[in-house]
Amino acid sequence: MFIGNIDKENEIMNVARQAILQEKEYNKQTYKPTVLMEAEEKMKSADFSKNLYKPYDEVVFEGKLAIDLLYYKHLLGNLDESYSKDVQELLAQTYRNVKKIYEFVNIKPTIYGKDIDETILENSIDTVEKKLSVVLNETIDNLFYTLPPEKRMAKYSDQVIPMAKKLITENNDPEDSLKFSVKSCILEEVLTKIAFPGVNWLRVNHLAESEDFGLIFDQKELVNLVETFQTQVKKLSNYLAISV
Amino acid sequence: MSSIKKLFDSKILPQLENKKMEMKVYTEMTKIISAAYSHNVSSDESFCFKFNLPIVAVNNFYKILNLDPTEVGKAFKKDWGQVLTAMHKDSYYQILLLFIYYGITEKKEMFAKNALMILLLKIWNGRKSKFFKYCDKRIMKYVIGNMLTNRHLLSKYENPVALLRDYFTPSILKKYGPEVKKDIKKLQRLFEQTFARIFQIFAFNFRSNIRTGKKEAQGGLLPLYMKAREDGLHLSVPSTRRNAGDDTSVGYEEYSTTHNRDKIVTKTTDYIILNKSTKYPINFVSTINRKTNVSVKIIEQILDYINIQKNYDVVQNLIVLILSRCDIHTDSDICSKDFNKNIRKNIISSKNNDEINKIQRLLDFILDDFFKTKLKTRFNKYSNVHKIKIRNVIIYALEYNLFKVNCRGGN
Repeated sequence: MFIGNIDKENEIMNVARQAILQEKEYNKQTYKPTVLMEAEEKMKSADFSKNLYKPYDEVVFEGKLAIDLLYYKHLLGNLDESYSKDVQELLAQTYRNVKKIYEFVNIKPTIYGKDIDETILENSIDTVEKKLSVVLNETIDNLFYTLPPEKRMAKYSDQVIPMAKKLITENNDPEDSLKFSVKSCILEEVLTKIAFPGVNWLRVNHLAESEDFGLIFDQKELVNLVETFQTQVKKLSNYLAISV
Repeated sequence: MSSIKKLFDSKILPQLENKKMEMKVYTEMTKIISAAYSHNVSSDESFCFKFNLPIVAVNNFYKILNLDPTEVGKAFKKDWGQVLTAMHKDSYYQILLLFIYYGITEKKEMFAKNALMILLLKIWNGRKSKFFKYCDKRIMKYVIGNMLTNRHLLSKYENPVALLRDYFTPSILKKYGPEVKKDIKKLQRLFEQTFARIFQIFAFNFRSNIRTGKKEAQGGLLPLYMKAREDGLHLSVPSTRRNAGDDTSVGYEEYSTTHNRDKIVTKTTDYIILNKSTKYPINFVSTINRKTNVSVKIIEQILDYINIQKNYDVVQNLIVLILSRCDIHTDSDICSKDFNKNIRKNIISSKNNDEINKIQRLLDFILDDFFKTKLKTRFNKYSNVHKIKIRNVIIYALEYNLFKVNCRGGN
């Protein structure tokens, strides 16, 4: 009886689905957009920033890598030594992946931080570390401390609350869980910015979703690389959240 | 009676009066001219160009007519006197002069023109070698384009073959034909004037240089070329070698390899276009996929698309530019282990120079059409950085075919 009802329901649903599909098909065939509507549609999908980017450059990436690792050196300053090996390995994997993404989307790598470029490496280590420390502090200020509480809430609650809940259910201290989750979320954003500064991350995400890009390139491969990067950054930010 | 006339009347005229024989000789001459024409047109050597001399084909005329070159030489010697230069004694010129005489006297204009044209090829080569043993086409192009007035003869003709065929051949026959018709002895005058006219193109008005004591030409291509070379003036054109302009460091042999390069171009283009069903190995396609990230499906479609007949000229020009840019002259340059590196360095990673811009325009021409017809979209929709990757698919395909055709014989 129960099974019989489901079959009947499925049959009705199929008939309804067919009717909807036919109507859609009919609408598609009879739909004649005006020139303005067509133009609007094209404007939506137009890639206006397509020619802003320069092609990938191996030498530039090497300079970027050197400076990015100095950022990490600063962030990992207080890391418990027992995690050191794992973090180093993860960091190496992450940057192999970052390189692949830059090569894939074929854009010139850029270095994070205002007035920071590879020439900074010509200064003494102390000077470089000081400059990078200033940049990192400013970034974290802008991402969190200078924001009013309601904006912090709006920006991070979606990520922080589920993460904190999970930690609390694992018998962790509620206050520590919340602090850890906030730090982790902010650091995730910082690490993403360091790897893909400015509009680079937006560009990568745009291409991972773009239909035009997917028509020609192995978009699935790019999506895999992006997802792997996100997972790696999440793990790294967790390690850092413990030590910062 | 003139010995040449006697020989002509007894041994040549009766044979050429046979229509079949006349047609055979005429066809052979046409073939020679046609080969010289296509060789010159496909070359970009400007007036530095040197023809592949049809020595064997011309000597073959003696066999066709069952003539003894020594006998012909003796007849010329008898009429023209003892004091003759090597040029006067050259059997290549002598048989052609007899054909010119036949054409003039029998009113076979095209026959005479063809014979004179073949004669001019050798005179051109001789003068070119004398005055420009090492000729830099970039300087020559500068001279032709910038140092000659529009009324100058060389400004009016694109290349040596056009100059010889369209100017010298008709004008020499018009001027000296009537007197040769009356008197066979005037063939010598026609021959020497032909030589003098070609000579004048390269150099004339010789004067002693007070400083060096040597005689130097005041007119013609030579002084202009030397002046341009001294001032470092040249046009930037696809180079046949690196460090073009440094004449002293380059051997003459290098120029003869232009012909080899033309052969590589033709062979490879023909192979690509005539083998529509060529299947590229899976590992080759996946290598391109790994290098460019273009999907395998699109790579396969592009590889198929370049094989179509209408892309013949574009593919041919692309190969010419790739070979020139990579300084490739012979098959062994392609079969060398550095070929891949060479392509990567000089084509794929190179930018902002004339040749690369030309290559890019040609690739875009193919890809515009491919995107429009096969994908129903626009190639221009894609960013420059992505266009680079898509263009590289064709570069890799051409590299693959160059190697396959010239190193593995297309197998």
